[in-house]
Amino acid sequence: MLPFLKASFTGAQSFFQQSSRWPVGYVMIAGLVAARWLGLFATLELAVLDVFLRSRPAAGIDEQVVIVLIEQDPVRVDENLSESQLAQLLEIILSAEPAVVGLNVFREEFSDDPGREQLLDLFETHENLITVEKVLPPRPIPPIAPLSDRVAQTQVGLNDVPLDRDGRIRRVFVGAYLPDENEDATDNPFRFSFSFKLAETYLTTQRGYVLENHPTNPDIPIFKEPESPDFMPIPILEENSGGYVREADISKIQTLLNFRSGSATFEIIEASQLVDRSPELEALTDKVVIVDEIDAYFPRFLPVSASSNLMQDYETRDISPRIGITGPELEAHATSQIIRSVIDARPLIRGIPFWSEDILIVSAGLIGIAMSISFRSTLRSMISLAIVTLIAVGACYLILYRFGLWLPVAPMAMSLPLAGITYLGFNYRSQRSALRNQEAALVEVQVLEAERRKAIERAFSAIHAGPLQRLSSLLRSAKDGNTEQSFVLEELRALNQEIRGVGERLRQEAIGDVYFFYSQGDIKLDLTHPMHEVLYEVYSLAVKRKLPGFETIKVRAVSIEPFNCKQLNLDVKRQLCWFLEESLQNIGKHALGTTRIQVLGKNINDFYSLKIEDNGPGIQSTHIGDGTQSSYRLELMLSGKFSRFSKRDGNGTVCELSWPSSQ
Amino acid sequence: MVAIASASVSTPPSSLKTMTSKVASGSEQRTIFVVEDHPTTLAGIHSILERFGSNIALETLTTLQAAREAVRRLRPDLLVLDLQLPEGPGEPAATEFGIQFLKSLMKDYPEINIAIHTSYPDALVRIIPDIDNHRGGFTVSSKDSATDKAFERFKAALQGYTHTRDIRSLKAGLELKPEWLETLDLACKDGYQDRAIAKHLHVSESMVRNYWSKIYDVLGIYPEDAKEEGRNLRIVTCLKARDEGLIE
Repeated sequence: MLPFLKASFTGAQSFFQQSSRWPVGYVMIAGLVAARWLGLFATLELAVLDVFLRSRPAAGIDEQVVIVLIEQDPVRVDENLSESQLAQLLEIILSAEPAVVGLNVFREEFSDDPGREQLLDLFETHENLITVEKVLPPRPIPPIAPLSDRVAQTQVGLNDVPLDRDGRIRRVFVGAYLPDENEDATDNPFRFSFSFKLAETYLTTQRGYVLENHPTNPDIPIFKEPESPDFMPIPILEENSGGYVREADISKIQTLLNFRSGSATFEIIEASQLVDRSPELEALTDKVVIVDEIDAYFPRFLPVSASSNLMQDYETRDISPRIGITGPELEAHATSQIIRSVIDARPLIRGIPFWSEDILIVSAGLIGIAMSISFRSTLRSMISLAIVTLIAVGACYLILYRFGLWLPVAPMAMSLPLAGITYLGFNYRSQRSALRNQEAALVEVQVLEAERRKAIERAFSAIHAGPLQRLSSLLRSAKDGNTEQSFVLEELRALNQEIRGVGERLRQEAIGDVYFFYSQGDIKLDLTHPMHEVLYEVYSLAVKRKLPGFETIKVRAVSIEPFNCKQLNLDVKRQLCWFLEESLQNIGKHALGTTRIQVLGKNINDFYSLKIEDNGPGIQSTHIGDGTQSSYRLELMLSGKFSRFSKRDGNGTVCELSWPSSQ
Repeated sequence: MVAIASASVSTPPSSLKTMTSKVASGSEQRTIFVVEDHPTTLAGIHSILERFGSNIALETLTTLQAAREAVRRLRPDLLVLDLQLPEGPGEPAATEFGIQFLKSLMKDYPEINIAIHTSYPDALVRIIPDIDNHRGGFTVSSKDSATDKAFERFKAALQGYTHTRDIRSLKAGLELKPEWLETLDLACKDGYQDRAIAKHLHVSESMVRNYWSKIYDVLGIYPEDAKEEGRNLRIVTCLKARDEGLIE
């Protein structure tokens, strides 16, 4: 166990070391988390949830829920179902002894229709007959009246529908606190939703479950078998559950709609068939029956991603989920999901705590970074990133399908490849440069090795050919007794000369690119020395040359202050030497009659200025030579300033190069 | 530390006699450090230094490490330095080490008197600017130069003078730092004294005196000789500067 821990610790350490060299990936992850927090992903995440839910394999028909549809003719209104006909229909349905009947139908609150009395009677006599009201804006609709208090309390459910920002329906009410007169929001009356009411009645009467409050959170309803400690909670939504970000519309108590996928989900029976007492009546026994009216020509569809049973005959398989489902179907789905979750443990959809969502997004990003870092080839990294992203998305889908967990798929699917890709670029770059460096280092080593061998051989052969020969001859003559002082002195002097010659030659032959090759006289200057010294050497070599302009010189005022040359590369240094040599050579060649030259290198504020001045005849041609051109190049390299001009009185030329010394 | 007896001085040239006596007449004892790793050369240097007479305290150091340590302990009146030296005992000797040591020495002890005694005086060309900035005595002598000459250079360094013409190779004209030219201008054209010059140039008076010593070196004026001949050093210098075109 311990070695394993140690290995993973060092692994993590090297991972962070590598990845922190290029923190853009972390920035990317943080950016995604922040963007999600700002709500930029909300719409996307909801859309992904739709796609995932809709693309599940068809769940088949839920036999526990049956829909009875009353067709309405919007044109011949008179032929529509009267209240007594409705009561008659309900009586027929109730005669089949269903578990619960939900009447999802609105009528005028007060009516003198002769059937009203009959209808109200049915509610008083059948506790398993549930009806609806709307309580929330824009327009509350009360149930039919007058119902007794008991019926009004226990047999009415609300059928309001919460809409998401994109206008679609993904949530349903479990219940809601009704708005009331007084200000105190804690004592508002609570009302279960229509669908929950149906499910509850079914579960308590048919299956023997009990509805209770969650032992720790009274807002969560649970179903439990009386003697069993296990219970089934109904997950309730919070403002920030899943993909929702500060969704103010989420109030108590809502849950996500885990609709049955496929277009054959519930059995639908037309009311007329029931009135005709067709054999279907048996089919209602012990079931949840939802009775609703529907426009016969163009039923109203609600924007839910599920597919409607009404559309299954048409060739509209693809657009069916876009059309949505009818009101009774929505209630059926909502009822069915509660019943199924309790009796079959079919999952309900729930979010995970927001911090764990952020952890998932961050870890997805870290995995992306790790993948990019661990593969040497860019192509492999990209392919593996794509594969891992697909696997992650697939896993999220399966988790949603199997366990109902709504994970932040979209942000994870972005954070993983995005964070990874930033490293691909970095890897690509750093790998290439590492490769280049490696090659360069190898070449350098080889060159150095070759030079070293050459130098040793040269030194040995030089010593062997010269001084050693002379030394042995001197030894020989000493043994022979020839110790005449003048001879020995002569020999020793020659030996001295030879050894020095060897040293000097070897010094000259040592080659390397750290040198500035002074153009005249095969002299090399070591550019690793402080630059003001090197420049002084250049100067002192330059003015030694026999040039017409130098012949008349009487005074040379020279002062080259040290300056910061750590940041200058060898190329720039070489160019600087060349610049000085060139400037002085110009004086030597063109400034005839110069008696005084000045070479000043000075730190002025944040700049270093190198100024070469003479008192000769000044600039006589406007031609820009190679030298001047390369001085302008140097100006660019140093991001400095170059100027060359005649002095105001015409006596002499000034050549000045200055550059920021912080460079 | 080795105190060298004066006995072994063998018939010094007459011109030097006075100088020797002058040095010897100095009241206090002078400390001289010799940094040299080569035994034969060392013997040669010792024989040169013997001419200084009896009031010389001599210490010999064979590595740069030892030299650095010794100078930190006690500031000598003169440091005789070879350039090709090893860093520590048993290590290879190189001119570059000596140059680096010299540079740091001049930086840390700007007033110290230094006499370079080397086979490669040319190696010093690179650091002429540093030498020009040095305020103590600084002379250069080649190892193959005659004993008289070497002694003269050592003595000049001990007195705080500069003699670097051996390394200011054959070039047209005289090379000066701009400050020295200004010093000459102020003294010879405007007749200012050192104090006024110092004020003008925003430097100390001792710095101006240092400038003068550098100017003497450049113009080839030997202050001792001029004084001996009873001539005013500054006037001699101004005349010579005018001759050389240093003053317009």
